[in-house]
Order: sequence, then C-alpha cells, then structure tokens
Amino acid sequence: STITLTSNKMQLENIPDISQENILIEDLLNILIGLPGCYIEPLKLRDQYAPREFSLCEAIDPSLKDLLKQILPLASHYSIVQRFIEEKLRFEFGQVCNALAECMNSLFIDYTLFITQMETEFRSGNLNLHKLWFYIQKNLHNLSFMSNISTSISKSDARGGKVLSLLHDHITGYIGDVQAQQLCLYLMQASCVPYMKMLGMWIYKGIISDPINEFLIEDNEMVQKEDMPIDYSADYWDKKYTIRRERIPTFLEPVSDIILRAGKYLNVIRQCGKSVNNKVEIVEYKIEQKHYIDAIEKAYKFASKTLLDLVLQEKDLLGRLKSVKHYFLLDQGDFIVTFLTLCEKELNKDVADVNQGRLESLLDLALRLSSSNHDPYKEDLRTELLPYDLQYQMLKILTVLSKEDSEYTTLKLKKKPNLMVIESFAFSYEVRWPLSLILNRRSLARYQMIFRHLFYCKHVERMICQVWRSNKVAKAFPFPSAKQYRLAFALRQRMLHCIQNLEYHMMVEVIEPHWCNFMQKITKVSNIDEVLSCHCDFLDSCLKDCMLTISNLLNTVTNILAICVKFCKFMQAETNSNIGDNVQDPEKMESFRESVASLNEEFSEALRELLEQINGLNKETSDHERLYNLLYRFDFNSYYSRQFEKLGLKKMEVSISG
Amino acid sequence: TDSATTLYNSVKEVDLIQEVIYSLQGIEGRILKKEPGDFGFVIDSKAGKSLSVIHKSLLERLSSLGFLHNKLKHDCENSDKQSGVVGQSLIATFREELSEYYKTLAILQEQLRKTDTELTLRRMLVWVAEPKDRLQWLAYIAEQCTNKKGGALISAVYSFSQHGSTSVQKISTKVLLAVCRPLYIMMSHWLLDGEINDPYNEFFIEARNISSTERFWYDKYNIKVPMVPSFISMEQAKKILATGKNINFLRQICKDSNQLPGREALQKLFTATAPDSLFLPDKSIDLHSNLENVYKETSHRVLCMLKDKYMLLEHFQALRRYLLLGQGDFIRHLLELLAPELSKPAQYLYPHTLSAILESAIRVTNAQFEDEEILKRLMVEFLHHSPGDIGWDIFTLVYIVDGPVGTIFEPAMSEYRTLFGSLWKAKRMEYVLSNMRKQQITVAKIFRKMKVLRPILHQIHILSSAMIHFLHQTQYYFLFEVLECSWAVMMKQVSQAECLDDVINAHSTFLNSVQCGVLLDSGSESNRGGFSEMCAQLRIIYNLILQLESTQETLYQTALEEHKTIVQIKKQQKELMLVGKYSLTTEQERENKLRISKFHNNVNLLKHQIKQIDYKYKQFVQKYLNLLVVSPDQNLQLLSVRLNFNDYYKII
Repeated sequence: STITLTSNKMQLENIPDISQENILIEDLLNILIGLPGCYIEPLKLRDQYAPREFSLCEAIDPSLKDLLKQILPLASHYSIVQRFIEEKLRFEFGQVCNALAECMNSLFIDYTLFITQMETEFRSGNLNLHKLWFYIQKNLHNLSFMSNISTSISKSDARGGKVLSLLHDHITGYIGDVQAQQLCLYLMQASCVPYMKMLGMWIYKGIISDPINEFLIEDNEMVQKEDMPIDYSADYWDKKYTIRRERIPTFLEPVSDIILRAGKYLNVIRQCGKSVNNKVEIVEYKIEQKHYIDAIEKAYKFASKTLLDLVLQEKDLLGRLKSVKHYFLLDQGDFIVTFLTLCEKELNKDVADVNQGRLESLLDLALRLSSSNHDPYKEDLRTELLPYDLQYQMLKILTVLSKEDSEYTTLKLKKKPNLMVIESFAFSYEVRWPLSLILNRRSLARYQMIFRHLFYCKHVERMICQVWRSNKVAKAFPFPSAKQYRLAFALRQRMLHCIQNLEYHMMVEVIEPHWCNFMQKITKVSNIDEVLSCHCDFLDSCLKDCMLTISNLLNTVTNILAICVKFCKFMQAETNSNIGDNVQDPEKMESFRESVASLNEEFSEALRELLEQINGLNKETSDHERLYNLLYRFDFNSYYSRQFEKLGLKKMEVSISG
Repeated sequence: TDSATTLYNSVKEVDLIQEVIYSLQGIEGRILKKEPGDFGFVIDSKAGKSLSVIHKSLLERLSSLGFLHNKLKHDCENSDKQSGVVGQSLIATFREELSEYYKTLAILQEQLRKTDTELTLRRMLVWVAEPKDRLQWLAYIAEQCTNKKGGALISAVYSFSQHGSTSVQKISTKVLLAVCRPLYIMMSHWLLDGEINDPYNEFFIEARNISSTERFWYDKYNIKVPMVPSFISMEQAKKILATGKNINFLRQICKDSNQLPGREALQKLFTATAPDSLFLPDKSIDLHSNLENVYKETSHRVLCMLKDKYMLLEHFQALRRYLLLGQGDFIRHLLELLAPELSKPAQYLYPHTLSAILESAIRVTNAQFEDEEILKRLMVEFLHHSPGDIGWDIFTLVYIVDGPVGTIFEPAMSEYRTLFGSLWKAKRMEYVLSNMRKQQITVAKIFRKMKVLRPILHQIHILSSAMIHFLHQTQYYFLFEVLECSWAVMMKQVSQAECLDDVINAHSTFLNSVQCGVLLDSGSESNRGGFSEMCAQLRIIYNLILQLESTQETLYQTALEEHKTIVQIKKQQKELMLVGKYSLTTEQERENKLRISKFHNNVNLLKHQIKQIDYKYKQFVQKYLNLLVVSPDQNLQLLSVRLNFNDYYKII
C-alpha cells in the first residue's frame, strides 16, 4: 500500500488548489474519526496520554496547509478522548469512570453522525474547508473540553469520588461558559449515577455495594461480631466503618460525616436483628446542592431516630446506666456496705493470695442480700483485679495526656511491687450489644477509676471507724491513763472528719448534680452520638471534680489516705498489745505519744498542702468551682486556717529570730 | 464529486459496503477474506491492492464487528458442549441478541439496494456503533463463561453487572435474568416441594444416596459451594438448604402430607416475582426476608411434629432415666436382680433370662408408670465378648430409636452405650461396697470373740470406708454436677430451639459435656491425655474394690468355717464332759493345733493381701487426685477437694 500512497502523493503536486481541497476534505473526514488519510498521516504517539500529532504532505498548498492545521486539533482531541474511553471502560477503573466513559462514548456517536452529515454535504458538493471550519466550531469546543477533562483525570489517575470532584470543580469553574457547563453537567450527571446508587444503598439500607473501592465509606472487616474480642464495641464504633478522605467528592464533603453515621446506625440496627425497612430512593446530582443534601439529611434523621428509639426504649439504656451508677458510683449504700463487710478479710490480702472465684461468689451473695436484689441487671456485674493501683493508672494517663511535666510525674511513676486486693480491686460490667456502644471499654474504665477511688475512701473510713470502736475501751480507763490517748483520739476524729467530708463532696456535691444534669440532657438528645458525647462529658466532669485528673491534688489525696491507713494500722497494733492493761509501761507510752505526734504532723502537713493546692487553683475560670466548696467543708469553722496561721506566725518568728 | 472518489479507487463504494455487510454476517467476499484459523477478516492482498488508505482503514474498522459476530455464532453453534440448563439459557439469549443484530443488517442491506442510497462507509460506522457495543460485551461474557456451569456461570455473569456503564448493566442484567431463570425454577421447586430437578448438577444443593433413613438429616442434602451464586451468601444458602430439608423430612420421614405453613405465601411470591429478585439488591432483601419466614415456619413445624407426635422430649427423658441411670429405684432394683446372673461367665448368659429380669424390674419399680411406647424400646443387649469375660463386662441396656426420632438419636447411640457402661460400672461398685458393708455388720457379732481376726477386720473396715467415701463423692459428682447441670443447660436450649439443628446441637453438646464430665473423653485435643489417664486410674481403683470384695469373701468364709469348727468342738467337749470323759484326746489336741495354725496362716496371708490392696489403692487414688488438681477444669479441682476434704491423701 505504500506504493499507492507515494504514487498518490506524486500526483497531488499536479492538481489545482480546488481539487486539492476536495481530496484533502476526503482525507480529513477520515482523520476526524480517528482513521488515517492519504495525505495527512497520524504520527506515532510519544506516550499513552500524549496528544496525537499529524504530518502533512509536503505538496499541499501552504494556505490550505494552515487551514488544515487549524482544523487538526479536533482530531487530536478526538484521539485523546477515544483513548480515554477505551481505557476507562475497563472494570478496574471503577464504576464512575465506566459511566463517564460510556457517556462520552454516546457523545462520540453523535459526533460521528455529525461527520457523516459533513460527508453528505461534501458528496453533494457543498463543502469546502472554510465551511468545514465553520461547522466544526461547536464540536471543537466540546471536544477540547472533553479532552481537557480526560487528560486531567488520566494524569491524576483519579477514580471514584475524585473524578466526581474534578467534574464538580469544572462545573463550578465554568459558570461563564454556558456551553461547557452544560456539557460538564451532562457528563457529571451520567457519571454520578453509579456513585449515587451506592450512596442510596448506604444511607437507606446501610449496605456497601462497592466492588472496586470507590465509595467514601470503607468497611474494615477486621472482626466479626461472633468472635467478640474485648474491644469489639469501641472498635466497631470507631473503626468498622471509616471515611476515606481522599475518596470524598467535594460536593459531598460537608455531609460526609452524616453519611457515615446514617449507614453506621442502620448497621447497628441490623446487628441487633432488626430489619431496616425504608425505601431506597434515588439521589440525583443537581447543580443546586439542596436537592441531594436534603435527601441525605432526611435519611440520616430516620436512621438516627430509629437507633435512638431502639437503644433508649427497647434496650432500656437509662435503666442500664442507673444500674451501672448503682454499682460503680455507690449510689445505694446498703449494697456496698454489705459487700465490704463480706469481703473485709479478702480485701486486705495480697493480690497473689486471693482467689477471684471467691470474690465473685461473695459479690453474688452481697447482691442478693442487699436491695440490689431487685435490679434486673445484677447478673452482669463482675469483679476484676487490675494489675496496677489507681494512682499509677491515673498518673500514667495524665502523662500521656500532657507531655510538659512528664519529668515530674515519671519520678513518681513507680509501680508498686505487690498490691493489696483493695488497691487492685474493681468491678467490671458485662454489656451486650448494642449498649456496649455507649458503655464501651473506655467509659467503663472511667467508671472503674471513680469507683476505685470511692471504694478506697469507703474502706479507709471503715478502718477509722473500727479504730473508733476499739477505742471505746478507753472509756473505762481511769482519767490519767485515758489522757494519754487524747491526742491519738483527736487525730482520729480529724481524719474521720476529713474522709467523710471528702466522700460527701464526691458523692453529693459532684456525682449527684452531674448525674442530674446528664439525665436532663439525655432526654433531649436526638442521636446516638449526642448520647455518647454527653455520657462522656458526665464521666469527665466527675473525674475532674473528684480530683482524679489533677495530678498533684490526686497525689496529696492519696497521701492523706495513706497516712490514715498507717495511723489505723498503728492504732490497731497498739490496741492489740497495749490497751486493756491498766498499768502501762511509761517508756512504751512515750514512744506511742511520739509516733502519734509525728503522724499528726504528717497529716496536718498533708491536709495543709491539699488546702493550699485547692486554693492555688485558677480562680478565674469556672473549671474548679466545685472544689472550693471542699475548702469550706474541710475548714468549716476555720479550725485549720487559724492553726496554720499560728504555725505560719511561729515559723516567721523562728525565721526572724534565726 | 463521485468521480473524485472513484478517481483513485478501482472499486465503487457501494460494492465495498456490500462486502462489509457480508462480512458482518460472517460471509467472505471478494476483498474481505476470513483470517485462516480465526474469526476475523482481512483485506485480500490481491483484490485490495487498488484500495486507498481511506477505504482500507474504514473497512478494517467495520469488519472488526464481523469478528465479534463470528465468535458469538461459534459459541452458539458449539453450545451442545456446554451442558446444563443454565448454559442453555445463556446460549438462547445470545441467539436472541444475534437475531436482533441480523435485523439491523437486513435494514442496512435494504438501504443499500435503494438507488438513491445515502449509505456510505462512514454512515455505516454510525449504524453499527450500537450493535458493536452490544456484541462486544456479549463476547466478553461468553469468554468468561466458557467451561463454567450452574452457579459458577451465574456468578461470572453477575460480575458484569457491577460495571459502571448503564449499557453494560442493561445487557448483563438481561443475560443474568435469563440464566437465573432455571435457578429460580429449581429454587422454587426445592422450597415449595423439596424436589431437586437438576439433570446437570447445577443447583447449589445436591441430594446424595444414603444408606439408611437414620442418616437422612445429616447426609442426604448438602450445599455445593462452587455452585452457590455470588449474590447468595453462605448463610442464606444454608437457610435455603434447611427449608427444603425440613419439607423433605416432613414428607418422607414423618409421612406428613398436610399443607405446609407459609407455602401459599411463598408460592404467591414465586409467581409474582421474576428471577431478578435474586440479584437486584432491593428486591432480594424482600425475597430473603420471605424465605426467612418460610424457613422459620417449616423449622417450627418440624420441631412441633417431633415434640408432639413423636415424643421427642419424652425420649430425651427416657434416655436420661434408663441409660444415664436417672431413675434410681429402677436401676438399683435391676442391679440387685441381675447381680447373680451377671457374675456368671459370659457364655452362660442368655438374653431371654435377662430380658425377663428387666421386665420384672420394670414391673415392681416406678418405671411401670412409664409410657408403653417408651418401655418397649428398652432392651438388654450383650457386647461382643472374649474368653474370660463375665456377665458384668458384656451387659448393656439399649434404647431402640427409629423413625423420625431416630435421625436425631441414631448417631448418638454409641456414645450412650459407652456412657451407660461407665455409669453402670460406678453403680456396680457402689453396690459391691454396700454389700461388703452389710456383710461386715452381719458377721461382726460372730467374730467378736475371735481375737485373731480383730486387726484384719479393722483394716478391712477402714479400707472399705475409704472406698465408700471415694465412690460416693465420685458418684455424686457424676450424677449431680455433671449430669444434672448439663441436662439443665440442654433443656433450656431445647426449649429455645428454633429448628431441629438447634436441638441436635444442644443434644450433642450435652453428650459431649457428659462425656467430659465422666472422664471418658475430652472436649479438646490438648488435654486428651490427661483425661484418658484419669479414666485409667479410675478403672484400676474399681478393680481394687473388686479385689477387696473377693478377699473379704474368702476371709469370711475361712473365718466362718473356723468358727463353725470351734463351736462344734466346744459342743463335743460339752457332751463328753457330761458323760464324764476327757474332753480331748492328744490326737485331737494335735489336730486342733494344726488347724488353728493353718487358720492363722491363712489369716496372715489374707492380711498381707489386704495390705497390698490398701497400699495400691492409696497409691492410685493419690495419682488420680494429682491429675484432678492440675486439670484445667475447675469442677474437677473441686472434686479433688471433696475427695480429700481432710487432707488424708498427700497431694503434690
């Protein structure tokens, strides 16, 4: 065929311009639909996405040549878009690309039809190159626009949502150019169809049908519910379905969050064994955002309402929370007192020596003996022995949270080698799907922290009370020997006052008001995420106002508790050996007095530190409002402030004189 | 202008178009020749010499459609190779599409014949664009479906409907609809009547031949995993399987020909919906929720049938009462009646004697109030015996189950047999020990005067007491902690069961936990060794009990003989004294001494034996306790605590 070609070329030189034009038009008609011509030859492509270039026969009249060069870009646009279509129709480019390619293909058929019309025109002798140039204007514009889009998609290797974002940007960017905008809208609407179908399935049914990973929500099938690892619920909520930021089409960006939640809620409902019966409606892309955003919001509202009803009404979330509060926040006294009485012996053992089965059965007994017997959820309470004490746990958390004073805290961060049961004991609670979404590991852990603190205080209080009981023997003593104990008894009284007020503060002034607040809020929520967040707020504020999250306050409080325990142990030992003998060894008595005095000093010092620390908190903000109450409670008749004043004066005097 | 084109071309465009139309139908022309060995067309080098580049390229582009056509046509013609009804419907769709295509060609041909035709090669491009698209995707589908059948083929077609472009979706849905039709019909047959009408093994449920009706539930129907279409999840497939199985079970095994519940609704559903409800997401949700309902209803029906008509629960109860020794008075009485028979060597036992004994045991105990239906199933059976076995070794009770209930129980019968064996053995030991104790009490008075017996009797008493304690605790553990607890769990599960499989599972977990509990078998592989070892220890301990029994027996016999002789001699002496003679002659004296020393020897020998038994017993109990303590099961640890409540044995 090369021979014929060259012979043809030879001939061209001898042909007049008019005839040359006709021959060239015949060639052009081929070139414009991607086929080779006789005098215009397509050159080899440099790479896959490069524009096609053409070589013109030397013999063509120069002015015709220029005219041709004007028209030829249409052919190279054609070639780019054609290659784009062929590539993007393949499965692996995803449904959006498929749909876009198909839409372009249908435009191409129209374009071919246009060329055949040109051909007819040409055959009837009415076409010259100038006319052709005029006719192709509209198509040239459209094709160049399409080739623009194709190149940018190919170059960025966009798929799925990214393609849609690109098209959306074009639509908003070409407001001035009505023709281009219309074309782009046409392409957009076609390529949105599969994506919107996926979106519809997700927001109305919670199903992801996304074979080539284009959708903005991803299902991380990490765990099956049946396996039920410990952290399943928290993981489920946070990690099972995630938004892939890079896949979100820009026009869905503002609603991506509620898209995620709508489907997630539906899935939770389905996991509870309920069927989701709302109709799948078709979401369409329109220039006005309102159209699809409204549809998405409606679907979201439906899903969130259904789930909320399910959780609140059917699964009795409030009842659950009340039950949890009952056990973890010591809401009704009789249970915890019964439990403490039953477990007293066990709690004072070393962790290594205790049998958890025994604790479990004692707990069971306590549950059945107290008013909690009427709690329908009492079977779900369990015991747990944690491998660290509360102070260590809190400090560790706080160090993770704030990096600044880590040096200070790491010094104190020493894990106690062998814990007592009372230090490592905590309740745990079995929560079933879907309530485990709210009572997840993290919130249960916070409940545990508060519980451990309260429980320990309660324990210390009981110890002091026991000292008080054994001290009653002293009543029978003659006055002089009873006098020996006075200092010790006064200290005991102060300790009791301190601990009881601390407890009162936490229970009545912190937990109860926060709880009421929380209960009020929960009646007004409109979706599960709000429930989660106000529950979280409740726990956080409880933790904060119980002084668990302020590390130096926590240290001081633990210190005070430790001094109390030390005192109690000392007194018990003394009681066992000494009290009862009327005649006492004066030497022993002396050492007893000394120890009490030193304990007294320690205690006063620690309490002073606590008061100062509370005083020193930032008064400007309302963060620690409730803590100031504690100040007045400890020091209700200015007993301590007066004493400290005296002490301070004395110190001053000493320093002045010294 | 016409002359302009013809100027360089020896061939007229009309002729070229004709060539193209021929090639589109797969027919060779003057210029377009078939590629040898392939489906495509090439321009004949000789005839096409004079063609211009313009025409050549147009011809090439157009004739590529001919390739697609030839390929599809080839597939259709060779369809007999692709057996199966699903494949047939695929081919039928191809044929339909091809005839549609021929219609387009006919129109083109007609246009060409007109004198003032406007048809040009380029116009042809517009004409064929749409059919080409269709044929291309059909060819892809055909390619993906080669050598596939049934569900696999449907899955292959289904993957095409995941394509993003609407035209592909449309055509693949059309094909899918066609290929799903046979599946849909099969499914409706299966779900409505439990029939499998599947000549080419394409359905995802297969029926196998089974040896006995008892295996019906387990083996008859199965899911063929590769044949499950990708749009039906395994869970759904299992439900579909279960529904049909339920229907067949009712029909074939229970002979229940009543109208099935929910069948009408399902039939309506099948007539009202098209096969597309299998794969279109929103419709399939409907279908599957309906299937779920039918599944639930048929399962419920099966369960009710078994419970009401075939007394499922009563059978459970009976098995527990008679094979797991739940009915205490009956078992005790049976044991007492059987004891003399069973001590005989195995070959002297006759089934009819034992059956009679069984019958009489039933008559006098509470078992007589049991339903006749159940009592007639209770039988005596002998295990295969080897020389040296006695009756105890081969005796077993069996419970005959047949019919629908048999499906559930038949596979478990061997387990029941071993369980009965083990429990029966423990029961026998209890019986032996209590007999020993009875003897001890009855002879105590007689032997009070024989001082020589005192130490040995003391030893026997202590040893047998230890054994009684051991056995009572073991029995208690078996009967209460294992059997009762597992039974309660099973009953709860059975009452909550939704389908027969739930009941079967509950039953098998029950058996498993009982087997674990009585130390016969372990649940997991890891501690199998520990369990079988414990079991072996237990066997040895049982043997020691039996040894002690026989030793005691001989001791009492000798002692009684001695006692008798002594009484005899004393009586003689008295008589002689009355007559006034010397009571003993020297010869008698010597004889007496000889006898007494022989007796002493015997007693010493027995004492030695008992000591041996005592030593061994302690050793093995110790070993047994050690095994219990380290076992991972907390209940077994507690058992060891109970057995060793006063730290009598030293546990390492």
